[in-house]
Amino acid sequence: MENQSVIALNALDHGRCRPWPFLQDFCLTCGICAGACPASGVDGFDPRKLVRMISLGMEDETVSERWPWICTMCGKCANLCPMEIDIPGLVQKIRSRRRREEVPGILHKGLEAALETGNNLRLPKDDYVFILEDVAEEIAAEPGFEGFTVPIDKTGARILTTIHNKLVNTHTEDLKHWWKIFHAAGEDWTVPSENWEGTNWGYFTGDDAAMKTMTSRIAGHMERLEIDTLLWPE
Amino acid sequence: MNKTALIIGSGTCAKDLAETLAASGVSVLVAGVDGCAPAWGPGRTPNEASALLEIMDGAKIRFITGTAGGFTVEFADQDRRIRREVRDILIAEDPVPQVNGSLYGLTEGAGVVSLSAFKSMLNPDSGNSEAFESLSRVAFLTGALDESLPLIARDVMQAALDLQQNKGVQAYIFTGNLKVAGQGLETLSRNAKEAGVIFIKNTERPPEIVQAGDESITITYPDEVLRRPSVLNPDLTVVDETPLPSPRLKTLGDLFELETGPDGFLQADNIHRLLTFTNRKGIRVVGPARGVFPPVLIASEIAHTALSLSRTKDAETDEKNKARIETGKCVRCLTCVRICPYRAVALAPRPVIAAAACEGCGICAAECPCEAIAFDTFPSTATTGAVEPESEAGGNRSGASDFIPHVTVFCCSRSAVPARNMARAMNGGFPEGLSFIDVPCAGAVSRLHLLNALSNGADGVLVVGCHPDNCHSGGGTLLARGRSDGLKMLLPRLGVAHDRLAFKNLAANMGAEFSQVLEAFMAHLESLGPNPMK
Repeated sequence: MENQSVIALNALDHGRCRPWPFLQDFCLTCGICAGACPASGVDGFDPRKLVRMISLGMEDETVSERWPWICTMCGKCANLCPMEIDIPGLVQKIRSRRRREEVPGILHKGLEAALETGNNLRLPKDDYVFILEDVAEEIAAEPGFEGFTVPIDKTGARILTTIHNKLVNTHTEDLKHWWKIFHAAGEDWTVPSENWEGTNWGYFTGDDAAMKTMTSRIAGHMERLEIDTLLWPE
Repeated sequence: MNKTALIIGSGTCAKDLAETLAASGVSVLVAGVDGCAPAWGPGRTPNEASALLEIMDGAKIRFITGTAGGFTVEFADQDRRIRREVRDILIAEDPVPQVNGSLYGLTEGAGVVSLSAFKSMLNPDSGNSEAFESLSRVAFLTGALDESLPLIARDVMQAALDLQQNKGVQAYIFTGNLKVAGQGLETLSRNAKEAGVIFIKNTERPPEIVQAGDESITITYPDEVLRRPSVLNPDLTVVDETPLPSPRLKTLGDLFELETGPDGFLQADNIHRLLTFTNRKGIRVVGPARGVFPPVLIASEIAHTALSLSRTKDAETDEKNKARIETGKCVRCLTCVRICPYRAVALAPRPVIAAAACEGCGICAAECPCEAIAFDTFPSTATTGAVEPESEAGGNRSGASDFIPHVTVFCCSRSAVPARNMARAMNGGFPEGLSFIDVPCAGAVSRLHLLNALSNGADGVLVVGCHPDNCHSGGGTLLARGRSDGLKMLLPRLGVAHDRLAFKNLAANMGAEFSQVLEAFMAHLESLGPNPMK
């Protein structure tokens, strides 16, 4: 539902968000971002309104809004903005300003799990490996895929790829599509056995420290396994 | 030859123009039409070229006679009468800013000031720095009802930027549509935004501005981006101004019989008058006298004027292309005096052509009821009939019959003649039967020219002139069309089809259209058959 309350400019400190480095004050209010955004109109919001509120210094109100969490971070707005305003950066900053306990429930819990266990589901390593090998067996049973195995922690492979948690939970069938492509292409690929989580909810919740932890783990795999190409579908 | 220039104006532009001209070696007289010459300021004297710069302070202009190259100006300084001879007259009158307070429903006072007043406050020399200590929010209203003028937008943004950056005051700019089409304006708007100025655009309806009795202002508006009602109580509101042509321009326009622009400035909206020319040779309008310009353009216009003056030759008095009045025939009706767009007919006391100002357009000859004016450059009404049809190879004809129409085509030198040359180059020639009579301006083609052509062998008569806003003489092409239209109404009474006479507006680059018009006209005349008047 759209907010209709009066904005009292005299009560605002317009310089509050001025130091933010996203060029938000250059906004021409052209509306190209709002036109491109897939989430435009939800809750009566769009990227242009967000930028305007930050320029006016309405930080508290923006941080408590739901819309910044609906943004998919697709980046179409930034791609088109004639003033090169980093709107996704702005969204992330707004997300980071929320107290962690108020981050939308599942995101915060998932992130805690990922930081502690290496994946959003707290799925133990044995169970994870079991699921991967189970799917590999099903592929190997199909004509043309005889001998298919899933390479785990393979040193010196060409590509390292991460795994979205849903692919070892509710959507295990989807693993088959791209594993079969790898096989048909004769690709030399591997997945990690630990810290395999493909999503990065540190990025998603505006938690820069957590984002860095998650990313460092992936980078760590690359170094450890001596792989220089990363396929990160998330 | 005396090369003194008279500058008429009472503000900055006249002052700058005077100094620039004097510095380039031109003797300059500076006067205001009603006695107010520009003020050079207390203790500030004109620059080193002051020997060439004479300021007629307090002297009013009573009248001006003469023509290009030799004007006589008479001043009245209380009881004294002073006469001076000048070669050129330059009008450089600053615009008058109209404060738009009433537009927003505001009266100036403690809480509301005009933009000019606010700019003075910001001026470091004004000693007003404490005034800003009590301010925390200032609202600027510019073009809040429609669109901003780039010139005013510049001043507003500069003032807002100064406030925000140097005085620690929050500035708001309320506008209908911010126009930044001007040198450096887009950068200025970005700098202002970067410094923290808040721009509020109200394109759907203007903000509601209420001035309470205690001088406090409340601005209420729907934010068009956030779609929420918003309210501001600024400590000070600055209303913009619209630069209007000075009332002195009307006085000068009447005094000099100058064409006026649609907005009251002293230059017709006609490309032939660009850059600083008027309908009168020797009289120029500079900068704010002819429109609203930013300072950088006025400066370049002043430089251009100095250059242009230094290159102006003394007036040509070569009689060949000028009008000649045959005094035996002249009945002193003064039609020529009134109709000349260049004011080139003087009364001395009988009408006399001022050769230096005459541009040879021929309008006077066409309008003279006694055929008392002649030109060497085109046939007068009495001799039109003697022209032989010109026969050239080439061109297209429908060729359906043996009848070859004889067509007399009157061609304006600025449109039809170049178009004809272009057509000839493209097509290699014209069909048989055409006679071309070249005139300086379509306005030189009189009713008698047209009637004589029709009664002396032409099956059809075509007049080709410039488009209405493109006529060098201002209204020559319109006069010609009027005569042609009037005559078309009479032709049926003579037993002649009205469409044997045609008028066409063309431009110099319309060679293809020139050919098409001729072809179509000749085809039509073929279907009409020979002129019954033959």
